[in-house]
Amino acid sequence: MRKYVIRRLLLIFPTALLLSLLIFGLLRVVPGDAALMLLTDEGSKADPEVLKALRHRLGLDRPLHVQYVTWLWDMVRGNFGESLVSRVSIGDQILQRLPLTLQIALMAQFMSLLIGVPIGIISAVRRNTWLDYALRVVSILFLTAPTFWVGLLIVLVGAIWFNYSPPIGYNLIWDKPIENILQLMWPAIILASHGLATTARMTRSTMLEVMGEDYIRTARAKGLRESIVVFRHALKNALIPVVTLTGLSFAGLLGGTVVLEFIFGIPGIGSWLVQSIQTHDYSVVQSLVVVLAVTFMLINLLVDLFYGWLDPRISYS
Amino acid sequence: MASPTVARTIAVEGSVFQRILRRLSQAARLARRQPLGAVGLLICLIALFAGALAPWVDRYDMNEGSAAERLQGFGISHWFGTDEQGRDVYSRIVNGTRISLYIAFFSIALGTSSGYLLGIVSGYLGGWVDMILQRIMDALLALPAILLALAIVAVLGAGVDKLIFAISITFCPRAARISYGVVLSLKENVYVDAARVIGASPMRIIFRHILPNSLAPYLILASVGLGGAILLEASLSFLGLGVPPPHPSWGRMLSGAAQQHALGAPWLVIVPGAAIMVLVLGFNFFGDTMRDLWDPKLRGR
Repeated sequence: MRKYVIRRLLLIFPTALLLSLLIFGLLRVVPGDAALMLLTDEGSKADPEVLKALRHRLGLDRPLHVQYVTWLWDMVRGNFGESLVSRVSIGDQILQRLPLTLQIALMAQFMSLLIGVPIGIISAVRRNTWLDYALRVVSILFLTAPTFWVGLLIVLVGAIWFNYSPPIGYNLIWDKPIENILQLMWPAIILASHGLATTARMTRSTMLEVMGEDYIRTARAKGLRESIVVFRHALKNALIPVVTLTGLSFAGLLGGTVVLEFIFGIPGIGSWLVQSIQTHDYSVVQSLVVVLAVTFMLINLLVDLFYGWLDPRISYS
Repeated sequence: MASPTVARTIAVEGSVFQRILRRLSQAARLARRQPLGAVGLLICLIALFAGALAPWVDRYDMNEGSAAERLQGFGISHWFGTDEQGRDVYSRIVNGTRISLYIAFFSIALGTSSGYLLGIVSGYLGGWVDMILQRIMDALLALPAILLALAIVAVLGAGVDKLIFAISITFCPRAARISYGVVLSLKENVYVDAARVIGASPMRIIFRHILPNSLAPYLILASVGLGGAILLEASLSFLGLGVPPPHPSWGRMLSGAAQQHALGAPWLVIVPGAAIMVLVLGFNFFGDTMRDLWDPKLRGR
């Protein structure tokens, strides 16, 4: 077990290396490098002399492998460089923006699990009754509504009927907790309603599958109460795919915040990545991708370890 | 007097008309038992027809507007109103169906299927194959779907085929991960041991024993995936990195001008979003029902 964890932790490095090489390579393959983008963005036609000077200043005239190794070595030492466009320190920005994005995702994850798993259990136990149908329809409605559309509708309905508009700007939770919650509330609620349906659906599916297993019949045959059969025998096994899904959906939630950060004007990590992609801000894109990738791989490892705890039939060796 | 046997023989050998009637009544019985599935199928069929026949069922040119008719509400001449350029929203929605379905089907056919198979092979074989495949999948999974798709689209540039490629890449590792989890559990089954003992090759075990038994999760994945692909395409288009003009994309219809005019012309926000929601809903209902019908473990209970 301990060996397995260490092996997986060590494997994060080659994976991150692979991804960093991929992103670095892809971004250099596209026509139009950062220097060209920066100069033509200001409306003027790029003067070759200025262009050359800028390329030199940004280090873009050095051989590719030197650029890559320099960048990688700086990152290993915790120096993420600065944005090509706004010249802000990337490391500082990540520290400022990541907490907001993570908080939205965590709030959403918590809400959707808390409501989604019970809905799935009820749906499975009362299969094909009106309650099952009602719960499924409601949760599927939330799943299928595009999050950015729900966000727009909330803004629209608030403006037309309630004279309300979601607060703009942001505060950190340890500075002004109430303002912070109010500002991040809508994206979190919208994301949760989206994930809730997925959780409920998966819980229902796997519960139904497990409820058909022999050991459930055995448990019932020996006269156990239905509640014990459902919670002690069925739920624990049914939760395995749900946990997989939760691990995956957490990354999805972080991605889902992109569009919502965009609508509600929250300066999180996702909206920054989109911005940087649009402005060809290579240094931000490549650093963000690697930082996010390492974070998600750690989450994946935790999910895998959690399988083993849930399903002793799976052994890691 | 005809005995029941004779009556049945007549029914079986009945005219084409009678056979169609019988099929219809069977379908009606199924629809009564599975109302959500029937609704889902209906939505999917309507969308398929609308998409296939878009040039014939739209009422105006989707890209031609007239300034005199801009920002009209629901009405007889423009069912879903007109946008800020006076273009007919209904015609744009119908043509948007075409492009949405096209992208979704190809993305899933490419992404989910290949990913699912890779996950099963890697989960069953284990060892170094498993290690290498999982590392590649981890590298792809290490970014949320929309960010991965965004990055690929940003690098490759705009275009429908590039969009399909970007979306399918995001579905591949997700499918692999689910099937990997399924196969870890499945391969502990006694019938897999039995097959191995009588000397079946790993490929035979995967295709004859593991794959059929992991069909239900695949169907759920593929059907939900279709909805998910539509949502992903819409999100990318909403951010301005998806379907390029002149194709009218539902996602792009929601960005920009629609938001500026939202207070005076709320249908510009409501209609495209509702279209996305209804179509994704159809795929979900349909997929859910397929699962109930096709999973032999659940049949008859």
